[in-house]
Amino acid sequence: MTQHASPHPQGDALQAFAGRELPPEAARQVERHLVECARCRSEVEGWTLLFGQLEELPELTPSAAFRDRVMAGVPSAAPAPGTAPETAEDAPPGLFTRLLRQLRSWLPHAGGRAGAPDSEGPVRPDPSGRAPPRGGGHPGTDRIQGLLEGSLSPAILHRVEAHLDTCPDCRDVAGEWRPLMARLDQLGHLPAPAGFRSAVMARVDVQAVAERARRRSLSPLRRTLELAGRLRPRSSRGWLVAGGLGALPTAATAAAVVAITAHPLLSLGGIVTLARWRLTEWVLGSGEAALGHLASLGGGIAITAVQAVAQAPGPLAASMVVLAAGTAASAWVLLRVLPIPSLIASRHEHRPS
Amino acid sequence: MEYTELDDRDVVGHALEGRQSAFGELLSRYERPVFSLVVRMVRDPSLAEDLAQEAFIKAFNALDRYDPSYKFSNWIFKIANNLTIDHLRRRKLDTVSLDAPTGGEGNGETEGLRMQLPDGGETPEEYTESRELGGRIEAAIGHLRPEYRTAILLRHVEGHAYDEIADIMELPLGTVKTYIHRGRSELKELLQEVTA
Ligand SMILES: [Zn+2]
Ligand SMILES: [Zn+2]
Repeated sequence: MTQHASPHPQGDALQAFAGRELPPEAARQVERHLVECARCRSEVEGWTLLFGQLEELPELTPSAAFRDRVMAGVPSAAPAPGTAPETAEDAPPGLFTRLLRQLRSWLPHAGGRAGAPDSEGPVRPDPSGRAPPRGGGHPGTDRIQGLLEGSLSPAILHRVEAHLDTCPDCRDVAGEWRPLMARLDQLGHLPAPAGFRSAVMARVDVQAVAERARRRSLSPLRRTLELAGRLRPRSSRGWLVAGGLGALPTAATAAAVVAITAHPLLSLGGIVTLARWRLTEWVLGSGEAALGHLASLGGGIAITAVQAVAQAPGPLAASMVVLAAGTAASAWVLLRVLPIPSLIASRHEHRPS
Repeated sequence: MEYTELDDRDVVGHALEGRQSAFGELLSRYERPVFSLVVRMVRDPSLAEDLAQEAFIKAFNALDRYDPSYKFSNWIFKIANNLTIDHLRRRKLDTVSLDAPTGGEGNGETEGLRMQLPDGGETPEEYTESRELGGRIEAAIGHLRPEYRTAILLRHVEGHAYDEIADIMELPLGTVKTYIHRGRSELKELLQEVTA
């Protein structure tokens, strides 16, 4: 809100704007500038106040239609309709202005304006004493506020500006809002109490923060663990699925290991020795030869496994039972907990704690 | 080390390298904005000092978990606002539930306080208070619901966009717009009651 797209209008222009003496195009330019410039807004506010004190506000020279509307809305407590305008016509502008203000203060305060943000909730008297909307055409006070603070989208801004050009009533409303908006923009910051910084820093462990940050940035393992933590199941059903999915390969691997190690000639130490031997050969020998060795190793293991199965029916039967049970459990869990997408739901938050 | 040219993100980077002066720079950028928000929320300078310090201490000690893709200013305001709103809620529970039936959110408070709005015949303490916080407009802001207050202060004092305010307050955009518009309407009304 501090950078200005347009230059400040000269003092005369602001005064003329406050006095509604600018041609529409120039007025629109100033209006646009005021939207982004608190300084000029407050200057205009000053002129408007001054004009108001002189009771020479040109904005209060109303159209005939507006006067009719005012008179139509005056309750019986007010002077008889018909007499007031005539008197006013003859009276100096100051008296006319005062009269109009008085009349407007008598108007019934029904509801808010169409589209006003406070139109929901209890109906509250409109303190501005503004005439009720003519049709649905007037922009709501939210739009007026948006115009003054420059938060309207271009299309809406254009519509509201065009309306204000033709509607003195809404220009009044905008004028009523302007001082508040300017005052709010002028609030500014208050000085922080003395000793604020040292009191804060006394309770910040700079080294600990830096150390944690360093560890965080250095360790990909930690990041992997965090990722795993995010994929971790978040409900007991999630754990069931993970368990069921994990059971099948675990059981199969276990069964294979059991079957292989059950062979009387094969020990775990023997397999490791064989692997080490083959690996050394791989490293020392040419790639092609090593590939050949690898193929023969794979084939060897397969044949060994088949032989183990043939020669050790006891462990084989046991592993088949485990495998079947694992498969059944997986299938059961999967069937029970589908659909799976609900498990993936995880929220990312920016909250510090 | 000269930080004035750096943006917040880079200053945070230096702070994470363990440089005390970078923390100092973040404080010099945000101590006034954060304190200003909190003191206008709680309208008690010494309490505001505690809460604002608490916010910085919390933020700085968790700086290693700060996500640099997020605006630092939004982060610190979010922490400060959460602390302040929590405090106001707790205080309201302590005082309101004792002597008043729990009514609509914030309404009892607003109505009660509206009676105290300085109007020519201010009590001495209200007078000094309104002096300290800059007069009638400050007093009027103090009588808004806390949520309206935060939104309006972030909008007008900090110049935050509506979507940033929604992010800081963890509210939908439409709610924030409504808060700001209603808050301003109430302010306008409050200020007119006084001058009328
Ligand atoms: Zn300007
Ligand atoms: Zn209109």
